[in-house]
Amino acid sequence: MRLGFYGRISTTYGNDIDVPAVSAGLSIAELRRELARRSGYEDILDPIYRAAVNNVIVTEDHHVREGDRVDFLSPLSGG
Amino acid sequence: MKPNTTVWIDAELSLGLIDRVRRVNALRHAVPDCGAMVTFDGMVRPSSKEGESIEALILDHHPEMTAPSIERIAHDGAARFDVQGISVAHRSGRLLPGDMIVFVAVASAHRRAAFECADYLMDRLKTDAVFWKREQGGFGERWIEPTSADKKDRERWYEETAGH
Repeated sequence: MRLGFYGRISTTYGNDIDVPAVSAGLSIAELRRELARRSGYEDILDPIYRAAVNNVIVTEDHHVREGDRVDFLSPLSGG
Repeated sequence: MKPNTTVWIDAELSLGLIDRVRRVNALRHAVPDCGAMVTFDGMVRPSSKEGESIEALILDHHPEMTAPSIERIAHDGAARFDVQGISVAHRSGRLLPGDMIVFVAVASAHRRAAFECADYLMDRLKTDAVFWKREQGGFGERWIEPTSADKKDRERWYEETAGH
């Protein structure tokens, strides 16, 4: 599964990573815990980093499907 | 109460220089009978909040979410205020001090709606447009995230709505 990271959170995990053997069906909360376990970095557990699936912000109980694009977004700062 | 009229909108994610003259002319042309036009130019400041010199400001954007977020903010402004035309452009990429980072122009029949709409658009762009900023200088590089003042500026529009 490919994961994207934007803003401050990208300094921990990179901009775009492939996490092999992550099964579809995980909730976003479960995906965060799995990523933290595999990487050893727990930053992703902070809900300040919102999750988007296929370009739509989702809640923690959203379940990802095969082929979904999951992005984690740091707080926005335009203007 | 905002009348139910069509508002001309041009909202853009800009990867190069913002052509403000072209944008102003396009807005004037699109809304020739407006009585007021308010423009706002946002530039990269030469120093950080801490007073250090800035060499560059880098804006990252999302390939799919950023452009729609700018358009949504412009449409929200159009739905909220009695205006006739809105032009918004927001840069992404590496900018230098003095470079224009954002441009907003609003045309309306009377000035107050244009002033208020431009103010609203900027508050929303600061906190809801899908961008991430980092500044570079002698201190290295650091991310810039919304301040409590930015969030407060945004919330005041919702407080006004709730109070009505």
